[in-house]
Amino acid sequence: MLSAQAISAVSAAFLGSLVEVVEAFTLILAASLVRGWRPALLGAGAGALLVAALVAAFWPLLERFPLRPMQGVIGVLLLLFGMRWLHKAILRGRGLIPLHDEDIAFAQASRDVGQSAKARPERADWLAGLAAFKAVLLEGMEVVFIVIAVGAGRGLTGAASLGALLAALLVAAIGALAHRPLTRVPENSLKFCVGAMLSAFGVFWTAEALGGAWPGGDLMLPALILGFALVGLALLRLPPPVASPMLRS
Amino acid sequence: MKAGWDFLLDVVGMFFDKSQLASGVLFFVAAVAAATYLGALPPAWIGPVLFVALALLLAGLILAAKRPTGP
Repeated sequence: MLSAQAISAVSAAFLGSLVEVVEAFTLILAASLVRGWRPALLGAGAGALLVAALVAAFWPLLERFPLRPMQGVIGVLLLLFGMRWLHKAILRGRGLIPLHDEDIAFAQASRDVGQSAKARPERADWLAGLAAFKAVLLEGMEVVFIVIAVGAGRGLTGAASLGALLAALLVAAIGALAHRPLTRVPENSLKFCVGAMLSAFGVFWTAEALGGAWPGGDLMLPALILGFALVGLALLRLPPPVASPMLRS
Repeated sequence: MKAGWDFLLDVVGMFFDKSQLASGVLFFVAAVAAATYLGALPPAWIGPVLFVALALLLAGLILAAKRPTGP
């Protein structure tokens, strides 16, 4: 039976990776619709291979790191990453910054690849492949970071990797069937949930690295996730702020 | 000193915004670490104090955020 930490790790890695994979898929789809599937898939495959090579090269170093300092470093990185997602999700939920729109991202990427292809038609396939390569490399590294952050140092890397793999397979399957940007993914809600989860992991690990003792041990992790979620929901329900006259100028 | 701090935030900024939020998180973690080192925080209080500090930081930043009004 999976422990509370393993379930939290699978869920956090799945939800966090889902957001990143959807973003990568949008850019790959844009490149493929401008220049065909071949250059887009070649670029995406090369990006995935580079991510795998980087993981293979640096993973042994990570495993040799002493547990407590690593918990501290990863805990702080989790806090920075998770709090950022939670903060942005709340700001978006309150209408203070615009929601991320996959349709707009798709149109922008299609326009960019199309313009580059027009400017240099002899290298159009190469440019489309490069766009897909960059998308997979950047979003893939973020997925790797989420897996490391959620799983490393506690023997949960397998659980976190499973969550990320399920997210990639789900997006690939839906994307192959739909053949259009996945605009119905409730991205802000996902970012809110993942932000709460990563922030909770961050507090848990940072406190442990500092010598803290949690009453109830690992059971405090779901309580922390709930705590961050409740704080976030309370902030979302606050009345909207009045526009600042200072910002009008 | 400032250049060093800016460099640190730039490195962190590869994944995270160079922002009040990142600075605030690092400040509160450092403050809790210092209080723990000085013996002011018993082990059972480290986690709860860190959680409350970060929740207050988040609330402060959200409440301080203003609605953009456009050009």
